[in-house]
Amino acid sequence: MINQIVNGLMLGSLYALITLGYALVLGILGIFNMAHAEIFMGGAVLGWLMITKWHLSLVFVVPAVMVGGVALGLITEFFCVRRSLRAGSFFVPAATTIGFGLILISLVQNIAGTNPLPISVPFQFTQVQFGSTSFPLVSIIVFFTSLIVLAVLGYYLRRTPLGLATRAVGENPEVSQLLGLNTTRIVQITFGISGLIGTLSGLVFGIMAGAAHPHLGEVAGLKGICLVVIGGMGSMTGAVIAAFIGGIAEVMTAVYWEAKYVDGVLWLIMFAILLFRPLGLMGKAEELERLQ
Amino acid sequence: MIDSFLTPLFLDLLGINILFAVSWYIPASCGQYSFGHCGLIGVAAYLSGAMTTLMGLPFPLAMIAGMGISSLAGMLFSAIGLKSKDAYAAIMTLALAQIAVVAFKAIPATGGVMGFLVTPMVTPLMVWAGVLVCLIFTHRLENSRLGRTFEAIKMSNKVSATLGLNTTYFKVLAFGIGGAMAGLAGVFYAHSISWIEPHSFAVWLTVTAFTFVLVGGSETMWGGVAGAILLTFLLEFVRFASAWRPFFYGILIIIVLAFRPTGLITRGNVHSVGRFFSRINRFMLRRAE
Repeated sequence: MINQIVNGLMLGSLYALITLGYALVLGILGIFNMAHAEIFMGGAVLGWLMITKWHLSLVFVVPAVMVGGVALGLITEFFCVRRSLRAGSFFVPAATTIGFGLILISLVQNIAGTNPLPISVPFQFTQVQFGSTSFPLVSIIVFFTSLIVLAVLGYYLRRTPLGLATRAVGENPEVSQLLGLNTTRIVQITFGISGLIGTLSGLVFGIMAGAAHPHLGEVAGLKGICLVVIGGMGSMTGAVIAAFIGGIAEVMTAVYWEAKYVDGVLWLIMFAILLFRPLGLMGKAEELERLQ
Repeated sequence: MIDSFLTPLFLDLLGINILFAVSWYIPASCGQYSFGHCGLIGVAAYLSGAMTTLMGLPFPLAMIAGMGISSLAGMLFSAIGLKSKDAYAAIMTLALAQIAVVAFKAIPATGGVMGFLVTPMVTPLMVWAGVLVCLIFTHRLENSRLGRTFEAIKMSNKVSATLGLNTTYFKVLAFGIGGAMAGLAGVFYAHSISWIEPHSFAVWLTVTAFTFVLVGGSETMWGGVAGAILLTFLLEFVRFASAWRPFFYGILIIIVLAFRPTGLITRGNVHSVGRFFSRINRFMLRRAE
């Protein structure tokens, strides 16, 4: 039982990483970036390309994938979000980013094929002994990576001028523009950071699962949006707590119920949460008001 | 060249696509955007397929049941999402789609991941009769009090609420009507293609529905119809490049929303066609006198 909870926490830390990328754009800026799921998939595929195809060392792969993520985030912002924000409905950026996601899926499918793309790293199956139980080394790395990313993001959003400006733009774009903030540039930077987290979590997922797949985004990537809603719009801590709860719930489902129901559990939890607590676990009413 | 297109299956598909586009348009005309139409069409397809093929019930009964379950599912999930915010209704419909696909994969009676062979019992005539009924219904709806209420809510949620409209009720109703129509499309799909599998109801199917509406025009029903006809024919021409289909859709969505957000057919176009016909009508009447 304890072992399952620990496994759940490990899976949860991966979900936390995916969710933080979403929470930054959806929670703070209130923009639906549906392409984030495909950017996540892109990270895993980039990992496959560099590790399996080009035999690069992880020391080069991790920074390269992060740079790729920033590039994908900036492309999303430039082609899909910049113009469509003026429309005033949440649906227009959502539709254009879905379009961009389709382009990414289609490119990967046509270039790399629809089969799983294997990723293998030297320490993939290494186990670390802690007392009587042993954990995979990869999971421990993921756990600490997500905590570090959460801490850095928390510091960035609360203490740095740029992070404060980002929150101001999320709160009220017109007023922050009047106060002299370059809102376009701030949205751009936020998309870059979100893309970086997206591909990093994709790479980590690929290493953990041992394979990348063109349809990764549809199943695993979209769960991020669900976890942001469970955690409450605008709350980074809520998103991470939701991710850990979700990870434990999925592992419990796989162990005590049946593995084929795993992909639906998070959505059922979201159904229940919205039924009894429409704001999410840690959401505030005024955060919800900002959403179009 | 044209003869090779107009097979019964293609005619069915064209009708189903029109129904699907219009079913997505109805909630959209109330300002509600659905990401879960793939789930609605899938639920109806599976339920009606199971009723006719496994239980041997008559087709009309299965059709009503399919429409009913899609309508109820759409209303339930949107109502829960609407407790928070309009955008949450869209996310809840996405949840519906994801849960539905997991359920389709898990139920052994309908083949699970392998897919489900449904007895084909739909002719193009039936599909097009259904399309005609739905189009007349939607046209009447658009010009009715209810349709104008939907439009008011789309224009401004706050103003309509201030004027005493129960906006949540109308939004849920819009999802219910759209869901019933998506259910009809699902019933026709199952009994025309006759092979349904969980994979064919993935999120991508929703994207086809709203691409039809966005390309054709999201201001009137005719936009969705035109978009469905145009894209179905266009994609039939480029069938050899079917692997690039999502790529093409993605480019199309981005270009249309960036350069012509109203779509091809705007309300003005529809009105000028209407004026043209009324002028002919008046001319003929004068001639008759």
